[in-house]
Amino acid sequence: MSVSTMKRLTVIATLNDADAILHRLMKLRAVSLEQAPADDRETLDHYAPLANVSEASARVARVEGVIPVLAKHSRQRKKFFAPQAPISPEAFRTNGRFDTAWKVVEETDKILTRQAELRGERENVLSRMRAYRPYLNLEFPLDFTGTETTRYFVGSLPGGLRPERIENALTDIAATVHLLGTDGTGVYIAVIAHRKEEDAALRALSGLGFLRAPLPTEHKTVKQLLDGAQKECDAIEEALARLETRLTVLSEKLEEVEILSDIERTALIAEENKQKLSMTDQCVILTGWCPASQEPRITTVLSDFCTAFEFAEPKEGDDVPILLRNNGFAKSFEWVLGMYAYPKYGTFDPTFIMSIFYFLIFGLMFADAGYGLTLMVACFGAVRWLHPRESMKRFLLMFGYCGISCTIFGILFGSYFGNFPLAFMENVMGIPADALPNLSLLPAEAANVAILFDPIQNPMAFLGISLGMGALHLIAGMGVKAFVLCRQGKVIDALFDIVTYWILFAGIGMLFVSRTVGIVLTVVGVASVLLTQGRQKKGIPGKIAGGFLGLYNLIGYASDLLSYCRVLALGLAASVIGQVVNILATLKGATFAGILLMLIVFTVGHLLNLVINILGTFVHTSRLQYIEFFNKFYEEGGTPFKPMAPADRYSKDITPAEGETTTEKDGQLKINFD
Amino acid sequence: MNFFEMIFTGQNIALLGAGLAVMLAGIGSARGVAMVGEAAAGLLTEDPSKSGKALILQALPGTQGIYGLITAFLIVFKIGLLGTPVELTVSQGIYFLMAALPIAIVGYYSAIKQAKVAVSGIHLIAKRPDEVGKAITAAALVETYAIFAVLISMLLVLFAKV
Repeated sequence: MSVSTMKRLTVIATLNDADAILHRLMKLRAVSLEQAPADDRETLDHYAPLANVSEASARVARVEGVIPVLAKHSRQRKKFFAPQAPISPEAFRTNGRFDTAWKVVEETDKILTRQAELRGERENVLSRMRAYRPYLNLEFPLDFTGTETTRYFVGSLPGGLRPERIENALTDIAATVHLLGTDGTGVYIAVIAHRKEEDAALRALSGLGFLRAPLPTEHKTVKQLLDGAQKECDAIEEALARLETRLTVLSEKLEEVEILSDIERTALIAEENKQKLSMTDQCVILTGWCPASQEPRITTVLSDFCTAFEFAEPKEGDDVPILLRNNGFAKSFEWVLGMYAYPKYGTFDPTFIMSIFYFLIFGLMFADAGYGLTLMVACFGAVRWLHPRESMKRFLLMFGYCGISCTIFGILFGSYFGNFPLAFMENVMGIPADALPNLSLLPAEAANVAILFDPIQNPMAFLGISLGMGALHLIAGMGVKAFVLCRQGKVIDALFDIVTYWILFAGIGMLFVSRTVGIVLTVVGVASVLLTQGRQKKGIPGKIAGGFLGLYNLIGYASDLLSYCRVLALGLAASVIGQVVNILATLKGATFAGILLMLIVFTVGHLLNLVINILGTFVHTSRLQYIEFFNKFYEEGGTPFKPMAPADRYSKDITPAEGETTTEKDGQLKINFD
Repeated sequence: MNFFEMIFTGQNIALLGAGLAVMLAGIGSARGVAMVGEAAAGLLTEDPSKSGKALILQALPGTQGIYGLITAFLIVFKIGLLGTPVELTVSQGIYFLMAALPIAIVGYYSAIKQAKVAVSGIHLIAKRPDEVGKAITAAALVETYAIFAVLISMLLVLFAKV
């Protein structure tokens, strides 16, 4: 439950070793690089040209571009939590798998280009066929233009033209029109005109919008042309189908290409990090950050090379990256903290104390044993059997733990999928709910299965518990502040800024228990706040004003506290919707149709309620941490420590690095950061 | 009994309250979710991998509609429409109507305001996907007032004497 101590690492090595050192450090996953000093431009130079990065990223883009294509053709169903393939990158490069995978990428690329070409060609042929089809009835070959005395031509007129109009236009002209066909867009005709009347006929027809047919002048009939085009089209289709089959064959190598994409991405990461190195004629300088606990491993690696290196304490003003160190339970809540902000270096890491309150408030807000168990089974089950990645695993574990809390509070407040036990008893089994003895601790007006009480019947008591939890949360927040102040040696500030308010709160609380004690404590509290809050102001008027301002802070504390009534509101919301689902589910009683209806409505309804409420509860529990809890003490603003590491989206490097131990369980590598 | 008395029974006035809670809060949520959805679709054309984050932001202004629904259900329970109907006086009916107003009005207004914050949140995660926590928190701050309103509405209905 703290922020790990970090060290600034500076390494000077020979130029020849630079790549190898970077490679080995990446494998350690324990160092993040910083831009090496560039203040002295005359002697220091960039180690690697920027062009290397764009070249590496082009390779990555090429490999990653074909993955979706191959995945689409792959017969294997893609699993949601696909396991990472265990590999050794060195072996992958040397034993030919690297080259084979690249060949697959290149061939897939070629196929994709060819497919695009073929599709273009097919579109051409199809549009040609569309243009020919209306003239299908033409029986003359297309190079036929007439006899000695006649002219013959074909073309189209605008659609919807009545035949009489054509005849009218051609009266007094020695020409005859043969109708080939009509469709929505045109009337297609063949015209035979006397040679001398050709121009007149064309003029008359042009007046109607006549256009010559877009047909080639070949010694073929339209039917032959169409048949030819159809053959072309078939050939293209066949070629496309062949390419598709080839893609399906290639997709069997999908896994290899995925591994290749990791290898290429790792190379890109290495290139990006090389940009941060500076060099002289002979040497290269590398600076970065590492957790103090990792010193021995890094030392082992660096000792293999001819290097000079040092681990230095961070200086004032350094932007030290943050690595949180927590136990397994709290570790699962680190991402909730990360969604807000990481703490500054050297300040308090609130993850552990936040995780406890997160657990409690989540459970109280969504108190239902049925939903809680569902959440636990789903989350812990997914972690157990689907082997998700670290970040997904933490996400699931967090909700799984919250499920435990929901279950506990659900049993206390008698909620099992809303009021399902009661609804089932009454509507399906036919036992009146009033027959149940009241087992809860508080007197109840109606039947319930709670150990404490039913929040719907007794919302005020639940509001009390919500606000009580809120008070605890706020006091814990102030306690952390007091602890931080004491650690900085400001005991006086802790006493005056925190303890005085606690006396005041205790006094207000005691008013409800014992009037005299309450009044005395309140007066002492008010007096101490008035006397101490102006202590940093100058002059008597400033000190008095400061004291009253300190008292005014009570409003802030009160509004923080009232914010916790959302626990009651969201809790009631979940149970009321649950009740409605139960009423609908048990509507038809104990008949066959009734049970069937119950199963369907129960599953769908409660699943919906579960999803809605997980979202709401997650958002509002987080908010109570971020706004109400953190503003009491939190100093945020650190950047998370992201050590440079090989890409592991699809594969995992199983060759051990220095200081790593392979655990028996599923052969996973564990790095001990402690 | 004249026409006026037949229409404005205690029962019907209470139902008007339940209806307003569902309708106004529901309209607000529908508008809000639609606003965020439009912005989210724009984001997803650029980067479909952010759909999870966008979906959370889109769902946020939807809760007011649910709060309205819950209040309506509580009123319907309380006046016994799902079991044996309770005879309500006109003033009792008006009590339920009044009880429904906080979530009806605040629900409508806060859903739209929350949606505006969520739309800004969508723009935020377009540029900085890691800051989704802050975008959600900013939108959740607006929802506080809908929660206060539904709390009062629910408590008023739960404590109604019928």
